[in-house]
Amino acid sequence: MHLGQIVAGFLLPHDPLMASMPDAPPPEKVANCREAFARISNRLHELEIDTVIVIGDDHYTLHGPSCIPRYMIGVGDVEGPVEQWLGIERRVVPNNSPLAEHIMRYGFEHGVDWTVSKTLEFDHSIGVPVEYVVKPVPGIRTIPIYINSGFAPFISSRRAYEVGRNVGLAVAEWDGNERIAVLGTGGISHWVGMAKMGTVNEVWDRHVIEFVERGDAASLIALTDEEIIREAGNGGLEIKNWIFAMGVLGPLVGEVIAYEAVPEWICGCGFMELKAA
Amino acid sequence: MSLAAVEKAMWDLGASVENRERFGAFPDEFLAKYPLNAAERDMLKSWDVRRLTDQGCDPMLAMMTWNAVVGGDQTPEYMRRMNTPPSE
Repeated sequence: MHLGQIVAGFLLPHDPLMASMPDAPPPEKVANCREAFARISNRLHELEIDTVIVIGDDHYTLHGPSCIPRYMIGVGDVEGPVEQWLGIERRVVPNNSPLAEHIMRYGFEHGVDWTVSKTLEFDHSIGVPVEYVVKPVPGIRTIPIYINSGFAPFISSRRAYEVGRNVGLAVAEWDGNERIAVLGTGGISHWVGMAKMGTVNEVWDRHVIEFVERGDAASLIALTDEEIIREAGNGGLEIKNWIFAMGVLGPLVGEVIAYEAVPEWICGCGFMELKAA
Repeated sequence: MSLAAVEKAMWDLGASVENRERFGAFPDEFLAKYPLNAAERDMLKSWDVRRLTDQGCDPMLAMMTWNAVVGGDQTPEYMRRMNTPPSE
């Protein structure tokens, strides 16, 4: 796999209940999810990754209705998570600011008007993957990217892919020698705050996984927001974070690391690695 | 319905302990700074999350605000309300 300096890509949940209610599900499901996190973390170590680009989404925890960024990159100080109830200790997370600023500038010059955060305080969508996957590997820096897949007005899936592609092209023009991994976080089916919260649509989740296995971003993009909300809840729209990551990485296929339907965590939890066909 | 104002009030409550304390002590006074009608104020004071979301408030915001104001340990009550259709 050779995509500039990007050497790995993973899709994984950022379910906050994994942190706040770690033992709520049956033990075998908990163990499987923990093992999946550990496997991704081990891959970051094996591949000598030194920078991760983490794709998350706001949950009305960072921004209120007075300002809803469509996509935002953290180029400076990064700290979190902001939610005390997660049970994850708030801390400063090192950024790769030179590369983040390069991605920002490349975007400005090529049709992506980033919202920019110089002092980003992140929520669980960055906090959970960083805690379970990145933190165990010393020395990895984190570039956080937020897209608005959590609440309306949602970024379109097409635009999520396009901005992701822009990030991939930016990295390809970066003259640094970093070894970079991309983490697309969130999903799969879950109904956050909706009447069906606690439901998991495993059949739909496995359709999404099959699309990723085939590297079929077009079929994921073709899913309408209305269809996703109906079949997978508002949280299902977080597959846009996956689509964004697929855009960064370009044409790859997916390999399933693990999948668990976990009503206790109100979520279908999918873990995948993106690899060359 | 001034949906944006309802969502702004909810978000302000979720974001600030001081706001929650003021709302808890003087709900009408707190809500008076938002352009809300009587029905909207009542929905917020009674945390009628079903009616709020039926009328367009974001469910994620409703739950985050509920967790902050009512309590994260009150999720079963939140779900009971969400699954109880409005009486009228």
